[in-house]
Amino acid sequence: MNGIEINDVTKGFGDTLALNQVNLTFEPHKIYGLLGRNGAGKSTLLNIITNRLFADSGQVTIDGLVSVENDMTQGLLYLMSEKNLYPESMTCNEAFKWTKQFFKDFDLDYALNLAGQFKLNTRKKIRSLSTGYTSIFKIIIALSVNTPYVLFDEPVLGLDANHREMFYRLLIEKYSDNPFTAIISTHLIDEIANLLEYVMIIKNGEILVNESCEALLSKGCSVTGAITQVDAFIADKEVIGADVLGGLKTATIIGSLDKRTVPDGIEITNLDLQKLFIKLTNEE
Amino acid sequence: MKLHAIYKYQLADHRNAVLIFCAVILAVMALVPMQITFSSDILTTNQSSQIAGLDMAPAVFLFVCGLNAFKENFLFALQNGISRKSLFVNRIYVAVTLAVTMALFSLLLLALGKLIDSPSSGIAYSSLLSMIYQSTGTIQFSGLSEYLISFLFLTVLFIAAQALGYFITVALYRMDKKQKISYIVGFYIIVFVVLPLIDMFISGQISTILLKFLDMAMGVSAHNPFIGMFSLLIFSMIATGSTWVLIRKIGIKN
Repeated sequence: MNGIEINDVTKGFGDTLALNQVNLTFEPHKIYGLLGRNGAGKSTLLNIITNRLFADSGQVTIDGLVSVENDMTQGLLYLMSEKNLYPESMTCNEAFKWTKQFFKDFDLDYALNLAGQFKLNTRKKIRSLSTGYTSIFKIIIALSVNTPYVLFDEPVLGLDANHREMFYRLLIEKYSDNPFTAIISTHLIDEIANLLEYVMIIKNGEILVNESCEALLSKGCSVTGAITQVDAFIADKEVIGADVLGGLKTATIIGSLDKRTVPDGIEITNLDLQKLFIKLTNEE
Repeated sequence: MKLHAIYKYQLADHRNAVLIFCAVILAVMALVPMQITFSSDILTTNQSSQIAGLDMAPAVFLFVCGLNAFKENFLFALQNGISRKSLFVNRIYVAVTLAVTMALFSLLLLALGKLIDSPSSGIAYSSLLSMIYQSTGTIQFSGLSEYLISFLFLTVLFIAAQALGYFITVALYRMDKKQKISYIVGFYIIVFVVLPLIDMFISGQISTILLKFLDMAMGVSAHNPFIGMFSLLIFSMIATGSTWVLIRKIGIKN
């Protein structure tokens, strides 16, 4: 398996360049975070991979085969998109049954089991589901479809904290039982940071970061302690963000740190992915 | 498996509408003799009730089916990894299946019509085929040939009706809101205002040309339904080809 390879993909909408010569590879059996600000080009990229949009130039291959208008390669993918593409008059049960017709590995029993766990009434029509339950309905299909590549575009839209937690747990369980490639595009970076193996950050249609989460987070750290102590410690360092709560200050810094130089009373923790994301994607 | 599924899905999308439509038409067919039986006026005055061109109704119905067959199916196909080509090819299979089914249903209506068609019953039934090609009385359709020609003619007519409906809906999907309004309003203004006005000023020359063209294309004066079938087939191919040109690069809209 070669994974999903994106070669020099460019896509524009009128005067706006949504993707500019993007090159990426999503390897098999890994969990990717596709991050970017609103309008950065994340959904466009996912839509091009899944044939919903055509690239102006460049090519997407899936396991070595060109994916454009290819039923075989598209059968290896499932995109749970923010936009609902299921007929609104269809019930959840009907949608599950039809999905089984299209994806032979779709696990109907598992889907019904998940529906029970999420308390989704599968007899309801899709149009009558709330925003949160529409996301749940799509999550259930995405987790049950059993394709080698599952793409999630804003999967937790409208979900409460309990359901979000449940989704992350189920995703990890599913991945542990039967590894697959998951590409998750979301704005809730803090919540998924621990799930991700690789992080890709898009800014203005271009790839800004493409590396393993571990390597990315090793580029800096968070420093916590008394305000005066932290201020003194970070004075000569590159600070990308700081929070103050009561007498405590937490600063996020970039660059390596010699732990022997850290004074007592200062605690060093891993870099905060969200803070790094904000720093990297802030328009200067 | 997936290709079979998209065929089944598109066909299932029409199932309920087709069943309701057939039930309504059969009910209409059943109501006419009942109404005549219970209507003393008709019996005493020796008037007859005419059922004519009932098989035009499926053509209109299938045109509407074609109009409603794109957006939802297209989005659903994309969600399930079906290419535009497979969706389109299977749409053609579905259109042929529906056309054949409705043509057979129309033959059933023809058979029922012939059963109730008699001077004593006060009902005169004429099929679309006989209305178009037998109006001058120089040609007679009867027996098995009538059923066979009717079946072929109606099948092609129904395919053409769906092809037109599908083309219109795909073309409208491609347009943005402003274009849609411009095209729809423009179409109505040209067809129902501008052309009739010009036609009036030039002594009906436009309508005469159009009627002559239709007459020639459908083989009405020649009393030859095969000319009509050929023209409808050409029309279907042009509409279907144009639809493919529109579909092949179509994307989802926000």
